Amino acid sequence: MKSSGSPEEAPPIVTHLTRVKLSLEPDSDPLAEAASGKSLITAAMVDHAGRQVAERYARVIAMMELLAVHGFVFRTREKAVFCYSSEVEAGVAKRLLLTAGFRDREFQIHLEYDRGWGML
Amino acid sequence: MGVRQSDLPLIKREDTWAIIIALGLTLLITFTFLSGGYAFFKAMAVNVPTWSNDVSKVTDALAKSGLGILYLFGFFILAFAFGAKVMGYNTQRFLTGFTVLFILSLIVTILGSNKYMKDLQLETPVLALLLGMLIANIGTLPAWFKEALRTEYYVKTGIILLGATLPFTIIMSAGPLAMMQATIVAVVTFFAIYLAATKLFKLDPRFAATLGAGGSICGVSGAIAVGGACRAEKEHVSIAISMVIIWAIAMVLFLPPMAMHLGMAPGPAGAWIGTSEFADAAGFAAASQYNALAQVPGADDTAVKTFTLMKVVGRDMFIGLWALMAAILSVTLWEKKSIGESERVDYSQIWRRFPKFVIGFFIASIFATVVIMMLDPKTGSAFSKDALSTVKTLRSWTFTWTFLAIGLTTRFRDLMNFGWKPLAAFTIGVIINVPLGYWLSNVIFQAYWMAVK
Repeated sequence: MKSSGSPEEAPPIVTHLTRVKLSLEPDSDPLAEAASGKSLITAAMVDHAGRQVAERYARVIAMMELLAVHGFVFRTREKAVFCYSSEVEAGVAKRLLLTAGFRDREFQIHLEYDRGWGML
Repeated sequence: MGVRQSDLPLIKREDTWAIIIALGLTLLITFTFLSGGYAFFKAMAVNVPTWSNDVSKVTDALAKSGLGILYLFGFFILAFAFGAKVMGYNTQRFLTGFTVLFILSLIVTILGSNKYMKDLQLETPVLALLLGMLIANIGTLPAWFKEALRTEYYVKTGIILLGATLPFTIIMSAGPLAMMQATIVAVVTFFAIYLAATKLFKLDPRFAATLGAGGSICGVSGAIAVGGACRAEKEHVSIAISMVIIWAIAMVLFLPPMAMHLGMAPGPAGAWIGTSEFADAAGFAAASQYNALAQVPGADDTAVKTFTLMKVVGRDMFIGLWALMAAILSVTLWEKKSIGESERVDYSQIWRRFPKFVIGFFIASIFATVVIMMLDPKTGSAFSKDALSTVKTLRSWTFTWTFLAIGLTTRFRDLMNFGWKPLAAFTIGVIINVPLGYWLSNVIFQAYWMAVK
């Protein structure tokens, strides 16, 4: 069947969306155990927790800046920053982060593929 | 920036609209059957009689069903287009495209009901597939038509409608067996493809896992889920999908006549197709084609039922678990890291990747089963024979749109961009899968599948 209108270029078989989740919470929270209200805390503990959070935020900012250079855009929810790209593949994003000195445990990468057209 | 399908609100997902349309239709048919107004849906259930040279037979039947054809078209175009609008499709294009698809489905159904076509084994399912492929591969489809070629939208609606005609007691009794058979075949086929790809052809393990998932779990959906979970490259996922589509089409043409040639009964034949077909929509085409070829009295729908038990209940439901396993392997074994130092894995994907339309399938089955149980025997029997027969006919139409859409979206020139290694690895899986599926369906578990009516 020939198109009566303008035929569009064939879409790719799959499209993808890479999502890097950067938690804003540090790995360990010295106040977490005390948060139930059953144990006492000290000013030093709060100070330590504050510094951990600040350090974590600094790492997240550094990762965001790196990913922004490669065209990622950002959203935030559930105490995390989500970095999205439909251009950069997940493996490339991971290599970028590792090469820049970040560790596997500092991020979580999701890769979602979608059918490019209404096939099977 | 796109949004992941699973991040979309429920109301914007295809599965949700398939559930709304199919369950809504089942509810409406049930309600009107019991309280009045059923004539509308009864008329919608358009059947084309078998004909040979007597064209007047089919024209008379269509003339009598004129209003029913309009109802059928009107109901489904409104329902599908409303869902399409909410999901953000181009509604104008969808309306135009679906109109053409509907006309094609009428033509195919009329031709597929012709005795000479039947003698050539060109029943409606295969005819729709072949006609669609012919149109798609001799020219370029206009964009407005492509908008309506939503294979998954139609097949999911059809599967949920099928749920209403499949008693929940059958799902409960045959479901565990289907899961066991599916697991045996999926594990064997997955590792056959994976090992062939990695050990024989030295392909990347992520690519191998994606190929294995496409050949063993759930076709295109399996390749997409596992490819995403293990971070396979886009090109690799595309190749795995090409393999699935090419082999799925081949199996639609191969399995039904082979099942006939081997003298298989409808129950085991459907289970074999459910085990050895690579995609839901293609599998329904194959099972429907077998039913049409076999014409076994009293078992005209059995192969589709056992196919559904195997494919939907036995295989599709576990896609999330397979994806999780691939994700764990990806960040540990393949990256040579321990669980403690590896990237965190998202366990929520078990639910996120679960095909939600399956819930609609179960609800439809439970609903129809409960309705029959609550009615007195006479009314229950009438409901089963009349109302559920209407559901079955309407389901057949959704499958015809599905089969046409499969053909119309199978553009071989877009699917031929792969090397011989993935093709060889996938083919090894097929060579193991098909006889293993036959042996399990027609020898080991034959008695169970024969018991499904």
